[in-house]
Amino acid sequence: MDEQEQAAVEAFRRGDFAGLEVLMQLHQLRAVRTAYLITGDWQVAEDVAADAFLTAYERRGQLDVQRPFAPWFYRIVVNGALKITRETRRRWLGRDDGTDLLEQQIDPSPGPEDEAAHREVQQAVYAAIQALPSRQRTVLVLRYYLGMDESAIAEILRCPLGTVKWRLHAARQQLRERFGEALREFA
Amino acid sequence: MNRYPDDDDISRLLADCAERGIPSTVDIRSVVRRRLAERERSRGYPRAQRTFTWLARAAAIIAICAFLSGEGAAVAAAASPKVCGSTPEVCTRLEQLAKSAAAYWSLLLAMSPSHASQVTAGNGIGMRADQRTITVVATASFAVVTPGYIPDSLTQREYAYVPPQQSGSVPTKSAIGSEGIAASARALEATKQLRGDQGGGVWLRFASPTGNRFLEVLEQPLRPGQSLPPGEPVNVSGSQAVIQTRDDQTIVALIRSNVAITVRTNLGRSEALRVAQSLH
Repeated sequence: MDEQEQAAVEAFRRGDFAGLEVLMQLHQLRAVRTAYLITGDWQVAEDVAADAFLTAYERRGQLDVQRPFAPWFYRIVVNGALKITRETRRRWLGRDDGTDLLEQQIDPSPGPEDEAAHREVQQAVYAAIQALPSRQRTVLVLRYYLGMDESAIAEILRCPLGTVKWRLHAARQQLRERFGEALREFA
Repeated sequence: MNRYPDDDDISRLLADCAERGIPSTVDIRSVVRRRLAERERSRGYPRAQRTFTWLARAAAIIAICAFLSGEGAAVAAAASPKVCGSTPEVCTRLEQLAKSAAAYWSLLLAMSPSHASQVTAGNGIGMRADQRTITVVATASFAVVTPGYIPDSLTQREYAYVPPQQSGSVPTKSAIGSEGIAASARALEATKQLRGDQGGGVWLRFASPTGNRFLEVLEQPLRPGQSLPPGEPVNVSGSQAVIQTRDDQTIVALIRSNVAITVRTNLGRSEALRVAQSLH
């Protein structure tokens, strides 16, 4: 946490809106993208992230300014996204087969052959991640998108370290079994 | 040949997906600011630093009720009202406010439904002087709730409140109001219907400027033997509830503690459930 963020966190803790503004500036994009990776819906992701900032502001009294802001805040984001996902049964890509978001994400215009092949690989890989159970997907997002270590993830999700390791292993295993080759090509 | 995706592969994949899905220009700060302002405005119970503001607004309700009824201050004895710790000075001011009804019409129009619920759910409006406690607006017989989530486009708000009728007391007065529009015939109709029930109730309506998108919340004390209407059973934050679709409207009915709550909207099932789950 740099000096700017530390000062913002302290101001935020005191209920100063300026602190909230700085923290929003620093974390909003990552928060929306994190929620998006879990929910698969842009609008919902924005809602989740906005709610997370509001919830964080309401719970600012629980924030320990001596500890990093990010794990505390992203716990709220992730829990909000998981809650919405459970409630609405939305899948990662918007529909059960995931085709709508894929159509948005992948340029449908004709291109060179290898580009078309690459798009197919992308589509397959996205579908593989979409097929993961939401809890496994969440662990994957925390570990590989937010770069958190397993113990931090366990703390955020309030589950045993072994559970986090198992979910990560299961997620990777599923990806490998279904799309190992595609992943290699994509990478 | 399959290979185990390494950490870099997965990191790259997720980053790529996130970047494709959400552009870096995304900006939710204005949404957060607006919602924060709304939440601050709709706190259920007045904070110490703005007690007087709350009292003044509440007094506007009292005053306008008295003004409409032509009976002077709407006073009803209450069994055990809490009085927000009012000082004699504040009580005096409250009395003054209540006496000048017309002057506070604009204040009433500026109020949001949540302020009505403060009056009802709060603890009544009252004053304490010379060992006497008087409540000028009767409290609801249940804990009034308001939606924590309201779709941003529903900027026009109306409310109606009818206190419970208490036998032997001076008839209690109802309150109607709005924000952004004049009090409508719809609010008057809601008041009329609520008045038909001895228990009274609270009606909140949130609508888009064109009026074609709306959300209504109706809260009434649970009658003896009352149960949920027919519908698909759903769980709303641990409360028993049912959901049904009628024409283009979704209706969620739930029972929470001693209150029967109905959420009605034409925004669809997911929004209806989201609103119902946000009631607090």
